[in-house]
Amino acid sequence: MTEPPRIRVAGTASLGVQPEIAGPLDELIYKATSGAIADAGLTIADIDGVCMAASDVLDGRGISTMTLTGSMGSLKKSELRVCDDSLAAVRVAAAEIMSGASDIVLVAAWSKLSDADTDAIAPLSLEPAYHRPLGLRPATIQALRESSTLGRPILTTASDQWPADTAVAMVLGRGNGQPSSPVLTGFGASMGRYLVPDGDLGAPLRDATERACRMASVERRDLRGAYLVGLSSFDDRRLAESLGIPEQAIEHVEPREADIGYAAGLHALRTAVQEQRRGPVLVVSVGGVGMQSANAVVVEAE
Amino acid sequence: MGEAVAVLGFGQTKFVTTRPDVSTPELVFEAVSRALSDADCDLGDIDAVVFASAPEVFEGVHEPERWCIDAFGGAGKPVVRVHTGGATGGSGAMTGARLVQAGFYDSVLVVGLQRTSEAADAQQVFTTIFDPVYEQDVQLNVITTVAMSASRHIALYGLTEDHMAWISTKNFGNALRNPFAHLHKEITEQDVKSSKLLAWPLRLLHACPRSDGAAAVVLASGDRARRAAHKAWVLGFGSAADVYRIGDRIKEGDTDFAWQPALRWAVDQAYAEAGVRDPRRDLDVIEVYAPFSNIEVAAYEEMRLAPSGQGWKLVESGATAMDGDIPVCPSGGCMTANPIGATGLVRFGEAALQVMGRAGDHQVDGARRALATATGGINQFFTAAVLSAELEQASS
Repeated sequence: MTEPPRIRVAGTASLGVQPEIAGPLDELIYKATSGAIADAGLTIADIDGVCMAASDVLDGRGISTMTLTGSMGSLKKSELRVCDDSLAAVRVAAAEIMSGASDIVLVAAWSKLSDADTDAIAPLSLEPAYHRPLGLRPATIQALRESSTLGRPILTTASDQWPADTAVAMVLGRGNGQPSSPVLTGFGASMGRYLVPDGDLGAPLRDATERACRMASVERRDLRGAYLVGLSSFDDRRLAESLGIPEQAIEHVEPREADIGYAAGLHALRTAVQEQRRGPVLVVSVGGVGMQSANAVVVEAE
Repeated sequence: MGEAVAVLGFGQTKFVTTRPDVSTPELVFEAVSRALSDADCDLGDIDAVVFASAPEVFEGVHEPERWCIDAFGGAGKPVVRVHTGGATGGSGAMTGARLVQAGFYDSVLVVGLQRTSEAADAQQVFTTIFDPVYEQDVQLNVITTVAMSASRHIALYGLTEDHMAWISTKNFGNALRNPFAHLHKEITEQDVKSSKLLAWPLRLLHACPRSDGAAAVVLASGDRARRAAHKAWVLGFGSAADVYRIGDRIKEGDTDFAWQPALRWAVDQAYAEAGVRDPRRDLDVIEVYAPFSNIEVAAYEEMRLAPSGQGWKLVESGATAMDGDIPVCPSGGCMTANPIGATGLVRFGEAALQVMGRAGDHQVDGARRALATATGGINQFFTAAVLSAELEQASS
């Protein structure tokens, strides 16, 4: 790829992040998607395809997006779904546009963890034969890996994360000839090995960041901000060193302790888009047990 | 459209009811190893991975792609998992193709996986896909909903149990020539009509088996593909969704639950991208996602092989048999192997083998252009792909 992609953020909407948002999931999602389409000054007829980020386990149903076609407006349209943080959905949607298959794609993600038993969900990420019976919690595993990375014991506490509800949507389109809209110019991702005790804990985060910045033709030192989610307990100084960015550029998207599942990345991207800092800004979501993966997007205000 | 994209290699495991000899990552490793070998490349040649796996409740591990990462060599690479129910494998292939066409990566490994045998009761899992407030208590499942579709097709559109039996016999016969198919069984139409009744009119031999297995495909950009010894060009892709509620799909004179209009919308997109104007003439072979015999007949119409309501005529003419003018499912199709999350990718890979002339004993002579489809939900999500031995668009 010789030229950075230019994916325009045409519109966005969110229900905000709250401990509980009343109402059925499909109606929450509809409020977000219809709000984003209206914000873009478009109608559902203008949307060529949709891309969702969703998890059966977090949603509590098999093929959980089956009942959500109406909320997404995807009748007769291409419907893709990723099972990863919503920044992965943004990357896939961008590819859909850059490939020429679609001009305008609606991206959405949500969380209804107020309905979920998050304590029962956490162990399901562990493979069942050797790791699950140990009863390890994600915070414990991250601490063990952090200790391994640093080469010394560390002190950690139980995670303060609380399950929360939200629904967030964004309309993405081609970035040519449009009046001042933020544009997405770089996409990166990386996944590390699974539950290994050694290896650099920050490697996926760093790799994803490098790839996004390389695609955007942006030097990391030139980033005006770095919006991070999925890192409820990680030292900012070490983060900055790992990413090669100034520590003062780091922004932890609020509410930092809220667990909104796969919606975290899109929530962070929306925050970055709304704040419209001059210059390139990085948005990164970290996921998986022990920070196994990261997705990154570079966004620039026009 | 963006960059050209082609299939360089395809690998799959032998599909069976259960594989107690391997762990889930080991199952993935088998398929990936074969795909890389088939593509004459190694892990260093892969830029990114798309992992296709349907409800992870079957495997019992949330986000199984993380667990399997060492098995597909994804450590340090961009990895994304896709899941659209039964269409998952097709969505995986499409996502991989779009990532290459967009210029994000030169090569993408697409991996499909399902281990339905790890679930104590697969149909109980399927029950959870329905609306939890209004529908789950009715105990809908895949078999009962497909039976409803079949009964309408019989009542309103000329399908008969003889037609359904012919489809089953055709596919089982084709599977005998595919070493990877789950079911290797010689059956007659009478065997089908006397097999165990599941939900009228569906009988055991009308239905897909519950299969475990994995598949993998190596996709690459045009430059890399041109240097490869063998390849199947992806000329077009399509994807479309229908409404969820079954009742909304029964409108007199407009649509019917016996049909699959979203398949038609997806296929039309793929045909338009590929320049296919007359499918009967422009296509040489089809790998359709049809886990039940009535589904395949309905699909004939949606793929524009026959006018609406006349798909059964292709059955009576034998047109879709191995020696017919448009063979369908020469591999045996979903009816003889259905590892749900991987099945759509198997259709895609089998179509690629056909146009590369490398499908072995189930090769359709002279096949140069193929269609592969995938279906998810209750006939709700569809993908369609046209593959070709040549990069040029089809033209009638």
